[in-house]
Amino acid sequence: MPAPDLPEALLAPAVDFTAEADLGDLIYWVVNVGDGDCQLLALPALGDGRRPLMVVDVIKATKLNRLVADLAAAGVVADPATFDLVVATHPHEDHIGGMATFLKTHRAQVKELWDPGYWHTSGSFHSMMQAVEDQGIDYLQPSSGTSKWIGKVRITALAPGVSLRNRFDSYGIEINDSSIVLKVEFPAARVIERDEEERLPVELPTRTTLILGADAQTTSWSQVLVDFPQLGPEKTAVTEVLKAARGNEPLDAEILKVPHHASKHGVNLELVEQIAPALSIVSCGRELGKYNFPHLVAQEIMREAREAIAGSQDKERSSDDKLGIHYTGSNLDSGDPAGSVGVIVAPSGSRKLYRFGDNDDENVSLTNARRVG
Amino acid sequence: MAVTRWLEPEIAQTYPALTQDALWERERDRPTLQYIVVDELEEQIAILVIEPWPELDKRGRLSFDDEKERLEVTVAVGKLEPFLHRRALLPPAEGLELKAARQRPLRIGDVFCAPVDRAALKGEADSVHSWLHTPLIDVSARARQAAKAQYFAAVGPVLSQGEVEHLAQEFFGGEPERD
Repeated sequence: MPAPDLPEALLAPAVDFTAEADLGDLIYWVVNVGDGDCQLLALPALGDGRRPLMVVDVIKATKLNRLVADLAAAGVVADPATFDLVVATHPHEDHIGGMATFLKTHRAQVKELWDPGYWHTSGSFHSMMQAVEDQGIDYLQPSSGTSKWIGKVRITALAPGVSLRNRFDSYGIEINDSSIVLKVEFPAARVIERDEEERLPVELPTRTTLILGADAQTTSWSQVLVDFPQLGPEKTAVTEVLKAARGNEPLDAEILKVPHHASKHGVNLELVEQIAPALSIVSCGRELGKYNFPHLVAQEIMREAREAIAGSQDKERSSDDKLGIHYTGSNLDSGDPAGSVGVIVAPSGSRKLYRFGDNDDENVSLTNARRVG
Repeated sequence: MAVTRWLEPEIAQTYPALTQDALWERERDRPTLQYIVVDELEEQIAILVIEPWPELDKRGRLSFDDEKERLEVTVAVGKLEPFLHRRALLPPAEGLELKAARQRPLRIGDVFCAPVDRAALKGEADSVHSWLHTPLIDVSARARQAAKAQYFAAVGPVLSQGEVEHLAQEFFGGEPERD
C-alpha cells in the first residue's frame, strides 16, 4: 500500500531547525531519498564542542552532502564535518549507490567504515572498497554484539549474527540478511562520579534507544532474537541479573527505523512487539516503487504491535500518525510532500519530530522544519 | 596510453569468433557493451544494475564511472531467465557441465557482459530482446573473484609478486595455488 497521507493540521508552522536542538541532544534524520536509504545522526557534542556525525547508508551522495554542508554553515556541526562512523549496512544499490562519492568527498573526515563483508559484484561495491583502500579508512566487519562508544552514545551491532557472517564466503546468505542492524543508545553513561574518590555503576532513569533495521529479513531477525533474548517474561534469577547488568531489555527501543522499507520479509509481529517502538520510521518512495514497498502486511504488523486489536471486531484501527508510524514517502493531505524525517532526542528522553517538506529529488531545507504533533 | 578493458583478452581468446566479428573494434568507436549485475531478486522481480563495461586501472582494479552512467532496471525473472538460458555464453571451465550451468536459476551477484540498447530501456524492460543483445556472456564466476579480490585488497595487505614467490618457495617449495 502507498505511504498514507499525513494530516497537515498536525504540523506546526515552519521553523529554523538549527535553533531547535541543544548541543547535548542527538539529532537523527531519515533523509527522503525515495526507494532507498540514507540516514544521518548528529551525535551529542564532545568536550571540545564538536558534534561527531554518523552516516548509515548513502543511496544519493549529493542530497546528504548538501545537508551536511548546510549544517556546517549553520554551525550545528563542525566545518569541515567529521564522520566518526559510516556504516554501509549491506551492498545493495539502494543503500550504497552513492557511498563511493560520499567517501571521496569527505576523504580525511571519514574515520571508520563498517560493512558486513559481503563482497558484491556491483560497480558501487568496487568503487566503495577502492575508496576505503585509497583513503586508508579504518574498516570493521562487525557481527552481533560488536560495540563502539562515541561520546555519550553507544552503538551496538545486533546483526548479522556470527553464524550468518561466516557463510558470506559461500554466498549461502541472502544479501539482505547480511545487513548490519544497529542499536544506538543515548545517553550511554553507566557510571556516576560522586566525588573525587567514588565511582558507582548506575542505571539512568531515562535512556533513548534507536534500532536501525537496515534490510534484515526473517533469517537475520531470528538470529537476533537468539543472540538478544527477551528477559522479562522469564523472571528467573538469571534473567533478573542479566537485566540488571545490561540495563534494559536488549531489544526495547523508542525509535525503530523499520527494516527493509516495510517489506513483508523485514518484520514479524513478535519482533515489533518486543521492540515496542513509540516511533517507527519507514524509508520508502511516494510511489510504490520496484517492490510495492511498504507492503500492507508489514504495515498491519507495525500497527498491531502498537495497538493490539486483532480479534476485536468492534474496534477501529487508529491512523498511522497516531500510532507513531511515519513514512518518508508520505504526502501531506494538501498534496505537498511530507519529506525527510528529523528527530531531536534530548538526554532526558524527550523527543521532537519534524518533517522537512522535500521531495526525494530536492534538498532538505533546514528553515522548513515543521514539528509534528 | 591504450585503455585496458577488463577480461577483454580472455574473452577474445575464448570466443575468437567474436573478435573476427570485429565486436571489440566496433566497441572502441561506439561502446555499447555493459556490465550487468543482478542486484536484487524478490517476488519474481529482478533488479539489474547496468553500467558501462569497466576498465582496469594501473593496479588491476575494476574501474567504473561513478554513478554517471548507472541504470537500475526492473525486469520479470520469468522474462529474463529464459532469454539468458537461450542466449548466454558461458566460458568453459574445468569440471563445469556447460548445459546444466546454462540452465541454472539466476542468483544475486550474477554478472553478464552484453551490448545494451539504453534507448530501448525507456520502454518496457520486460521485452528483454528489445534492449539486451548478443553476444551475451555470463562472467559471474570471474566477477565474484574480482569482487572478492577488491574486498580483501581494501581491508588487508596486498602481496607483491616477489613476496608471493618468496613465500611459495619457503613454505610450499613452488608456486602457490590460486584461489
